[in-house]
Amino acid sequence: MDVPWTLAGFLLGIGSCIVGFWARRVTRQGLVVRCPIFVVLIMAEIAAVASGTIAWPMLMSMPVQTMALCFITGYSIGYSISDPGDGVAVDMIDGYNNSTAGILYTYFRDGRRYLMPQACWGCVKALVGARCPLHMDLQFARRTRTHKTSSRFLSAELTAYVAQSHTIVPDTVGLFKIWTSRKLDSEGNVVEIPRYLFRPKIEHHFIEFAQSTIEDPATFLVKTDTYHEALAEAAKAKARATRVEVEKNNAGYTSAAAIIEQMFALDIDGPEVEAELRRRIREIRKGGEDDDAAADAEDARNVS
Amino acid sequence: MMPQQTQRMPVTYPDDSTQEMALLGSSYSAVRVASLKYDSILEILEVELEEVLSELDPESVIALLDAAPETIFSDDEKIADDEQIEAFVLKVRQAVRSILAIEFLKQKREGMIRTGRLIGDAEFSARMGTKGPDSDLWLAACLRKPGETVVIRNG
Repeated sequence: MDVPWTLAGFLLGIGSCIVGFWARRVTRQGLVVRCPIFVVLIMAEIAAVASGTIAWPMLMSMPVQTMALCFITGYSIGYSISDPGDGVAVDMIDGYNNSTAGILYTYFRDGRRYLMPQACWGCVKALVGARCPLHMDLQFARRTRTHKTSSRFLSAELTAYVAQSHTIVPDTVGLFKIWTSRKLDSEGNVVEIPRYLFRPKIEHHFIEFAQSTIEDPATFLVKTDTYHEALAEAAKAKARATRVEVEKNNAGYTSAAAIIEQMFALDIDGPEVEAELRRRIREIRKGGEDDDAAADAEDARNVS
Repeated sequence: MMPQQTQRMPVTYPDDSTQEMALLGSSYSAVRVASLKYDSILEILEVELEEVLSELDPESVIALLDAAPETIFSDDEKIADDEQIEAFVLKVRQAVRSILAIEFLKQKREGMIRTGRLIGDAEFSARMGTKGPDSDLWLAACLRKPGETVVIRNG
């Protein structure tokens, strides 16, 4: 190896480092091994070694292999040292109230924030248009929680925003429109329905930050009225729910009572309860007292 | 020698549910459940009746009962040209219907419990015919309140 070849190797390494640095801002993977470009490079290297061993020995020559090694190494270094600031650490709870802190890699496209899946195939799908929208309002998130772990040899620290909910909604999106079919709907209007070659699955991620993330620790002290109002509303809602529950349980009996009430013919059955009606009216008139025997006798006379 | 004096023995009565079981026999559970349902409907009717009566003027009801009871005890939909009078008469009719329903349900409930008593008595008779009069419990249940045919508790 003479000096020009060595310099060429260095230049190739630096060039590939720049390429990796740029690729990090495109593929947005936390680990370079998940980057589709890196995977293609590795597969190409494996194909070159296989082809060199079987058919073309030139591919196994020292300059070609050194060149490949320099490019892959430079790409990895450039990819790893690149930090475009697209990672947001979030402490998320799962469905069982377990908390997991992790880094979400996000990017913007057409004014919307998207989540980059941390997988080679997911990254390829996102790059061709099957993006995963991320609904996470970061502008009010100002307080974080730091997770720290250490052992004898390793230590790690992660400062994350605490989320109170993380909802994932599956969806599909059309890719590569091939034609548009037109149909007449029931009202006679022409409806255009686009037909796509692929309909890959995507995920909508909804992340709600915890109150402790968007407010200061003692904010609730100055929001007393708000909390009191919320508690009062909750009490009202509970009362309404209880009333509905009672009505639901009584619905059968209420219906039975209504049906029985309509069973009678007033002109035939009604006079039988005239005395009872008079007694109850008299109770109301006397404020609940019913000890007037004379009134009973009067009712009996009236009925007879 | 002192004459022997009859000593008064303390008698323990069984609780209400045990008495009901002794008197109603195998019909106890059905009668008990049905009785609770009757009570629920009766309670709703009583509440409805109270609400209707509270909205009525007692003097007007008595006056109408004295002057024109046929207006109340009728299903004729044509009552009067005045809407207020019509609404008043309809409310009185609603009260009458509630009272009729209450009386009807009370009679049905009473009849159901009497039927249960008959079933219990028949079963007790059959048991006594084969095993003899082991009737302490039954007697205690019957004799506690002589003449009372309804032992099912309300609620």
